[in-house]
Amino acid sequence: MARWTIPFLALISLCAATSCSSYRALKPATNSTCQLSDTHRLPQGQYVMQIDIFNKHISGLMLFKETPTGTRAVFTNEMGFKFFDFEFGKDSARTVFILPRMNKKLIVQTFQNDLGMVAAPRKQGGTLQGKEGTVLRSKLNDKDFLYHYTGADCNTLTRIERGGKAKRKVIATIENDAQGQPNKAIIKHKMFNFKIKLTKVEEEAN
Amino acid sequence: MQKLASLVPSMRQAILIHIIAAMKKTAFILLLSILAYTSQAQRPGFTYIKDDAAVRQKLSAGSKAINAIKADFTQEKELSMLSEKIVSKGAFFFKKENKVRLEYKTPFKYLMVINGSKVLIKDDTKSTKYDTHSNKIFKQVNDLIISSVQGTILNSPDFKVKIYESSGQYLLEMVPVAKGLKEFFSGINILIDKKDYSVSRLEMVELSGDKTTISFSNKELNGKVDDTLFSTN
Repeated sequence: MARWTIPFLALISLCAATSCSSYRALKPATNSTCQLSDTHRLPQGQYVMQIDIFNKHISGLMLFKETPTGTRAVFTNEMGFKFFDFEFGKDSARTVFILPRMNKKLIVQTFQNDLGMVAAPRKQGGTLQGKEGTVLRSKLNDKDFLYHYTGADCNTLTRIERGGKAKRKVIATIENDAQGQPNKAIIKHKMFNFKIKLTKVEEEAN
Repeated sequence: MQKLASLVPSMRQAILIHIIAAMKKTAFILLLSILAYTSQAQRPGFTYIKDDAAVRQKLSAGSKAINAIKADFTQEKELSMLSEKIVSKGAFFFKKENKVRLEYKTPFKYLMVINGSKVLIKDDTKSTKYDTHSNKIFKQVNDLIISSVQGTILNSPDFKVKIYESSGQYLLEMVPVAKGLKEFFSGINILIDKKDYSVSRLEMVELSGDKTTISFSNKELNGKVDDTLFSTN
C-alpha cells in the first residue's frame, strides 16, 4: 500500500465520522431581512498570518486593503519580503503578483479560495435558517457555496464554510473584538491537514 | 478514477510543503541581506568612488573591529502598487564570530536567531530550528553572513558592488548576480557610518518594485552582549 494511503484513508474516515455533515438540515428562512454585508468579512488592516501543514509552519503579515476595484490581499514575511498580492472582486480573484517559485495553479487557487472566503466582498445569495440561527448562502462557482453563519442578530459572524449543497470542505472559524468586528479567522480544510490563522494586528498610535 | 481523485489532496500537500519550504529559505536570505549589506542608490550628496580599493580596505578593517552590536531597528515596507507602509520595530544583536538575534517587538512578535550553523525562528505560537548544513541555500547564506561579519563581503562574487560616499557615510550599492538572490531582489543598498563603520540603514528593492528599509538606531558597539541571547534551544 502506498505510504500516503493510510493517513489519507484515516482523514476520510474522520471526515465521514465528524465534520462532513450535511447542509440538508438548513431550511429557507421566511420573513428574514438578513443580508450579506461588509460586517460579514475581515475588515481591512494588517494581520499576522500563520500557516500549518503537517509539521511545517510559516508565518508572515497579511495586509487586506480596500481599493476602488476590490480587496487587495498582500502577503509578506516579517522582514518585508512579498510572496503574493491578490485582488478580490465580488465574483473573481486575480493575481497581481506572485513569487515565481510559488506560481503553481494549486497554490494560487488554495490561497485565493481560502483568503477570499474570509476577506472578499460577496454577492447576495439565499437566506437559510438552521439550529445556529441565520445562515447566508452565496454561490461561489458551479460546485461550491459559501455559508456565512451570522447569529440570531445577523451581525455576529461566527463561521464561514465552503462546501457543496451537502458537504463541508473548508471551515473558517471567526472571532470578534469587543466592538463585534471580526478580528481573527482560523481556516481549516476538512480533506487535508492545512490550516491558516489570521490575527488582526493592533496598530500603534503614532 | 477513484485513485486519481484520492491523489489530489496528496499532490496539493506536496506542493504546499514545497512552497512553504521555499518561503522559509526566502526569509533566511532576507536576513542575510540585512546583515551583509545596506544603503541608498544614487542619493544626492553621494559621490561615486571609482577607485575604491582603499575604501574596501577601510571597510574591511572597520568591520573587523566590531565584536558586538546592540541596536534598535525600524523596518518600513513600502508597497509599490498601494499607498501603504507597513512599519515594525524591534531589537538587533550581533556577537562575533557568527551570532545574530533579530527580535521584532511591535506590532507583532517574531524572533530569528543565528548561532553558527544553527537557526531558530519563533513566532507567537511555534519555534522552528534549522541546521544550515542540511540545505545548500542555507549554507550559502550562512557563509555570506560570516563573510560580512569578517569584512570580506565586498569580495563576494554574488554581488556587483559600487561604493559611494558623502561626508559622513559610505553607500554600498549592491546588485545581485547570484542566481538565488537575483530571483528576489533587484538591488540592495547599505548605508555605513564613517565614524564607526557600522550599518545605519539597509534598503532592499524587490523585483516587483516594493522596497523594505531597515534603519538602525541607538547603536552600541562592542558592549556586553550576553551569549544566552543567541541560544537556539
